[in-house]
Amino acid sequence: MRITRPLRRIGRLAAATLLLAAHAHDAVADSEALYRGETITLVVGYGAGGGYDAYARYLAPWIERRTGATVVVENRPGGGGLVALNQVYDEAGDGRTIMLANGLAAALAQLLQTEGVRFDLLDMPILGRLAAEPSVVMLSERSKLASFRELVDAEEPVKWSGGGKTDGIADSAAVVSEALGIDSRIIIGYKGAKESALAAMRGEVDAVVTSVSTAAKLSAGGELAPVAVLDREPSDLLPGVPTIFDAVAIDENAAWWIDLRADIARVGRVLVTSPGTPADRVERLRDVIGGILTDPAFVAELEAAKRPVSYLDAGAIESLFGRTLASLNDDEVARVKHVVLEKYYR
Amino acid sequence: MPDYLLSALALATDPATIGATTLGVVIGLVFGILPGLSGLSALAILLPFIYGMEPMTALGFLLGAHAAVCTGGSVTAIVLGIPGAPTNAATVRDGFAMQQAGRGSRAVGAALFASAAGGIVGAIVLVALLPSLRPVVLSFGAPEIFLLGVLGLLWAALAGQGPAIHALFAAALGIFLSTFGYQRITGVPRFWFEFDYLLDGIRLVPLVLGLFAVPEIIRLATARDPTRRDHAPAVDLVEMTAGFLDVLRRPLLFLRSALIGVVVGIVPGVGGETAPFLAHATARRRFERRHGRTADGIIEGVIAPEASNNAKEGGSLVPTLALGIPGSASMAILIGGFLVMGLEPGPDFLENHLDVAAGLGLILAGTNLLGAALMIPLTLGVVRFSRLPGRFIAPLLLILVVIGAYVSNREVMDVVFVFLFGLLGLFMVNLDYSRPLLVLGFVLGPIIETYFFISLRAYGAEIFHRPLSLALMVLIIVGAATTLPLKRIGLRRRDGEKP
Repeated sequence: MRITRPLRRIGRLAAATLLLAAHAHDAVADSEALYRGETITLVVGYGAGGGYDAYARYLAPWIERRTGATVVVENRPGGGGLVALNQVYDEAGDGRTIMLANGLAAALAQLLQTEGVRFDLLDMPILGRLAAEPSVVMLSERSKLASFRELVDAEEPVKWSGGGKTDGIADSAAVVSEALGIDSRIIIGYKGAKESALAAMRGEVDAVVTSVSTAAKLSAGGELAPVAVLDREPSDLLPGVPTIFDAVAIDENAAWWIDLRADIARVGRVLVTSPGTPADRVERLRDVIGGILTDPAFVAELEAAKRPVSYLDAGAIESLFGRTLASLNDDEVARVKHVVLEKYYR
Repeated sequence: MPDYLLSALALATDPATIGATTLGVVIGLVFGILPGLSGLSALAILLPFIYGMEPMTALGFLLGAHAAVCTGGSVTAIVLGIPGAPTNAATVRDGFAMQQAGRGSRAVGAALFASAAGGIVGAIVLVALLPSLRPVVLSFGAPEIFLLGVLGLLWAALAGQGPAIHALFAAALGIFLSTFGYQRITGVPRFWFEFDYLLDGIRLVPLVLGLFAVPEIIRLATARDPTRRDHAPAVDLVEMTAGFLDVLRRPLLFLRSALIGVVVGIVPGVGGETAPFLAHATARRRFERRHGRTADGIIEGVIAPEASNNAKEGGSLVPTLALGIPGSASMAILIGGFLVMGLEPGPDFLENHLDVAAGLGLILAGTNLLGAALMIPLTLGVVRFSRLPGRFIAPLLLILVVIGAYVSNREVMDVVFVFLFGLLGLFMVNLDYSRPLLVLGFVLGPIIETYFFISLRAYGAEIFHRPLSLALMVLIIVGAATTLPLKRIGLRRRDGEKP
């Protein structure tokens, strides 16, 4: 009997462990079965053929394979992606609608209280970031200004191009101008990043801010030269191009502006879903998305299509929002609005 | 022959590429015939199918479909009076008038031949310009884009149908409708009435469908004669051949129109829709000046827009390939297609893939020929359809129009707006206001507004130091000064003809 007591204990322990393991297995199985046989709508706020559309179409089959759901990519162009975001925000939070959103544009629109914005990013469950890249100042070869130093010290107003005031191009120009005290005049109305860059290529403006990947492509032609990366780290895509912090002296006020802008840019191409989605569904989606975006096969597939992937998890994005959307006081918001929307358009 | 051309020829004549391109052309023609489905929607719908194809095969497939759309759309513009795609709206005035006068086959023949030959001119210019594309594109700045917009609108208005005041009013109404939604400069939405749909303004496809298709459908449905359309004779191949010859007999008209298409296509920002209107207006001005009278149903009014229509595709490939900057919305989708293939149009693209670029030029030329040839049997179908009694055609057309309006954006409001603009179209037809001019004003309104603003901010008085700008200004002034008196003469003639 004495011998059997420890054995019985071991037996109980083993049974308990087995039970626990079985239960855990059930939980995992439950979670894995969550989306099986359902239809997930992956909303893109732009038309077919653009970057967001392409990312979504690469992502959709991977989500299908990992969830057993059918994934339908739905283009809902309008209002620079804001209309679709409003719709996803309003939808019933059943976790069956997810959106690949332009986090930079959405965060800027929310921060600046743009007309037509009904969503609140702080309420929307974040599923993960697909990609983001820093911006860089490009100088036109046809401009009288030959270097970033000259641009900063220019005596005549420096002309910049952009699409709209909050398109990620013009607002960057405004922030750089404000940070470094440049007397700038931002000219907007160009269609998107490429036409803005074209305006600089033909010498209509002195400088333009683009993403580093666009800069890497366009600088090959010789009409545009990248001069300062708007981030704390240099970019692998533009070897030898200094960050703005290395290029010129940056005081505390200037750093506040540039860091704010860089943090917003880091939100990048982000996957979100509707508020009110049950926690288990949000967790499942986060696991699936995180798994795909860190899978070397997926990353390689997208790199081959010249679509870089830089995954960031939901927590990291939420902390970016914490430093930007959630932390600015009314005075700071008013200052940002003045700089981005008014100051350089007079 | 340079090496890159030989290599391009090999790429373009690969059997898989030829097969895919042919398939693309057929799909494009069908899209062209169906009202509301434009080249843009063809590309957007076909894009997801190219994943997994070889690069040249995939690009041939997309380009074939896109280039064939305006060829297909010309036939419905002529036979039914409904432009198959917005770019065919300029053809309606003279083409449909010829059809009603029993000369439809001749108009179709001329349209198809002008389309094919115009497309080839566009492709030749593209291939010829390939090595020196960049300076050409970079020589057009904001002031030139603004002035081209003004020139296009003014010329078209002055050559438009009806009294000058009607023409100007139609264009102005088009500009007004284009101001709805987000303003490109300020980002402030105008006239949106807290209604999300209007944030992006009024869409082109519902506007064109409403203006042109709805009045025609109502006319068909309410025609008393059940065997209406005696004026729609069967396709007459002899007459079609006469149409081909009409183009050959007007080489200057043809070349001028094709070159207008190429130039407008090259300038990023102007938008391809402008080219056929500009070419049409130029042709009508010349006709009126030469004959001292104005008339509807002239063959020149069919050849000019159709030649420029297809030629502009070669032109708009120029900035797309050379700079990676799309010359039109469709080209933006084509760039998406390049990226899917792992190719990236832009500065180094021409250095590394000159053969692919030239191959695309060759494919473009081929698709234009093929499109016109395949369109001949398809025309038989369209004409047979148009000879059905109106009460059968009207509901069928209505279904097609509703589907066409819905498919472009999958947006129900688009369908509602088709009928709102249909009402406007009815009024315009009855009161003799030009609907193509309204469309042109609508397309050019934002361009003129935006680039005028950019020109002022970026150049100020320096605009007057730019030779290209000055040349355009002279053209505008001379055009207005010489046309206005002519217009008055033309009107008097026309008035005199009326009982």
